[in-house]
Amino acid sequence: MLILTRKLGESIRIGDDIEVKIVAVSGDQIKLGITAPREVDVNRGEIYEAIRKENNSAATSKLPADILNTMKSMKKKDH
Amino acid sequence: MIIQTKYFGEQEIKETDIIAFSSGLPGFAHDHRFIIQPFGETFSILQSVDDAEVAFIVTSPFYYFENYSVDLPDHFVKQLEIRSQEDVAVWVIVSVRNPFSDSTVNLNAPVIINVNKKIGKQYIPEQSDYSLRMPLTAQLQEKRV
Repeated sequence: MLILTRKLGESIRIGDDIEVKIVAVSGDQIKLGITAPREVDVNRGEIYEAIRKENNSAATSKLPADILNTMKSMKKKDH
Repeated sequence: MIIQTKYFGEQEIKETDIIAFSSGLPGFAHDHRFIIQPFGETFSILQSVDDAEVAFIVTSPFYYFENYSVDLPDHFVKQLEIRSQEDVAVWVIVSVRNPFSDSTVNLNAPVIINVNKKIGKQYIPEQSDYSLRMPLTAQLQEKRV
């Protein structure tokens, strides 16, 4: 991991087209301004991590045949 | 082409049915190609073309939540090359549990697919009131009342 020290108003650049700027510092809160191309996704770490965990748990479950059969036979009108 | 699937074994699929997920899904960044196959009337399987073990059980949020809505930001709409509402399919991932009544659905981060362009992406909202783990059967019961 690369660790850099920056002051208020300073920035770092990641590659040619991503810039992360320190916009405000107040106590233990730091406000970042992020400029990135629209195809680059920028998410808060904890939000991304929660979704990653949920995806993992949804995809890795091994389900018994009786549950799968029940799901297959559920009808739209039941809802 | 022939692929291996988690729930249907070996399957022959049409390449034109493959949906491109250019950045994968969170936790599955290396799976870039998926197909959707019906699993009964209510559920479908979002299956990775390249990894049989990577398969999500999905459903339409609208079966359970008539008033469900998702407001996609402009950059997301552009990424998926969405031009009209007819382009868009919304799916939500189900975490199936044993017993089934413990199952939950991720209404927070729906999978959005441009059905005409065959491009998909999981939408990660900046803010959302919807739960990552909404009980599925709670909603069924509520709507039956």
